[in-house]
Amino acid sequence: MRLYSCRGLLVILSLIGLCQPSAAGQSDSLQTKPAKGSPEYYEYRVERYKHFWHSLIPNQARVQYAGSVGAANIGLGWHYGGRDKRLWESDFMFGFVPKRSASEGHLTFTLRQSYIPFRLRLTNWIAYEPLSTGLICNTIFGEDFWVREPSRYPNKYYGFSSAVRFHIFLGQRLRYEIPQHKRKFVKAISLCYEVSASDLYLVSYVPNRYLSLRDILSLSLGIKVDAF
Amino acid sequence: MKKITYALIMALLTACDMVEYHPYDVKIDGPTNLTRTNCALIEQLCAGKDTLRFAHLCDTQRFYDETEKIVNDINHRDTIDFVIHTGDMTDFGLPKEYVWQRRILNTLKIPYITAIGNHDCLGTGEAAYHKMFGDDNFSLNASFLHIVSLNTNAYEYDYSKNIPDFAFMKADIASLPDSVTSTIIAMHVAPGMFLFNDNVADYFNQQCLNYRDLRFCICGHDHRFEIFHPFGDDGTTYYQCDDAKSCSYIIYTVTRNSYTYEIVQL
Repeated sequence: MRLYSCRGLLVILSLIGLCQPSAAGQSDSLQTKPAKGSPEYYEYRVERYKHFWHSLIPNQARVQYAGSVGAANIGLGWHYGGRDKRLWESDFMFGFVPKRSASEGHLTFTLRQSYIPFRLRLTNWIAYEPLSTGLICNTIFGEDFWVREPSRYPNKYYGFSSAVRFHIFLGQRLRYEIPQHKRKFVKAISLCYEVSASDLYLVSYVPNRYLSLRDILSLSLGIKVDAF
Repeated sequence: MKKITYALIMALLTACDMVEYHPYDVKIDGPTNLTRTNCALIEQLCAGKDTLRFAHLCDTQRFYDETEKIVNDINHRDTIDFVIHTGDMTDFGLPKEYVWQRRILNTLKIPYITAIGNHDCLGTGEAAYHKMFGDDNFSLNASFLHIVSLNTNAYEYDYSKNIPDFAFMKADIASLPDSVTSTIIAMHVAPGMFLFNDNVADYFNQQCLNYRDLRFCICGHDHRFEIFHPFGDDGTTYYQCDDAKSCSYIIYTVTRNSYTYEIVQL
């Protein structure tokens, strides 16, 4: 069961990795492909190889409070896409759900894919991102939760996975880019908040007028740090 | 300025309300331990009565609008003494589903008790049930009537727990007060239904019959109304209530020597 979920996550992570090189923009030495057999061909191949692995280095870190994926979450990720417009971000995070009087604590793992259509520059160093949106896939670890229903049930008896949750979110951010001469390790810091809704809440909300958006929405606060 | 401060405070309160760590995080604000409170209320309200009338609803999971309708209808009748919900308040076992159901059921003017359903056991649902309601096997004495609520969702535990709990039933039978002359048993999954431990169905029936004058059993689970006799035509009668989606529930009127039932269709 657990292996099955890990495999799924690995596939998603490698997909994130694969879309990196194309998005990052290739350096000059990689622009023209030398003819096979020429002395430059080997160098070109090595450069490409290095470039690929280089683009897999996470270039941002994130801490997040709440948001239905865990109480406190910490993770690494990648931002890619245009410099000032249409940014994409992929992150993975680990988090925990605290122990309660009635239940044990649990660990969680989260994958996020966000899209930021545009960024507004307020000053030289401060930018406002009025919209961030995307998908969150979260898994909670523990024997009470299953990715696929235990085999004792007839096929799709419950028809959902208690371990894996999908959320959609909308959010906003304020980004402070550290002036070059003051930079040590960090290039920029963003303050974010997001409002999300989980799949199980949405299927409860849609057919019931009794439930309000306030019942199903979840707020998260976060800090994102760009290394480069 | 005052308006802005007020708006900010309201926004902050709403924001705090919207903080959730995980859908399966068992953080339940508001009233808990409802079973104990409501059992005491029922015993107090029914004391000395010779005719008891109670409503039976079931499978209200994800049917919030319909559940509200049923609750409103029950509130418009003055003759009902209490309500029994025979399980599946939640669809996914989420603590928030319990909170939403409690919000509706707590608008009842009369006390209610519940039996745990198989959906209520999913994820951290059982923990949330224990926190909000209390034990999943309990009983109370409403005047002459002994009412038992049992967890019968054996399959949910892969038969690894004592479900149904015969030790509870035996101890309960042994401690019956003299004032009790009849018994009604509430459960979610009845013998013969999927998820019940049918290997012990006959023994379960014997234990049920060990109670003083077992009138009938009530259950839910299959989302339809049904009167059936799993242990032969002369055996125990089981009443299954339809789900909340159908906007129907059952009212039973039990006296010291007879009973009637009425299906309410809204």
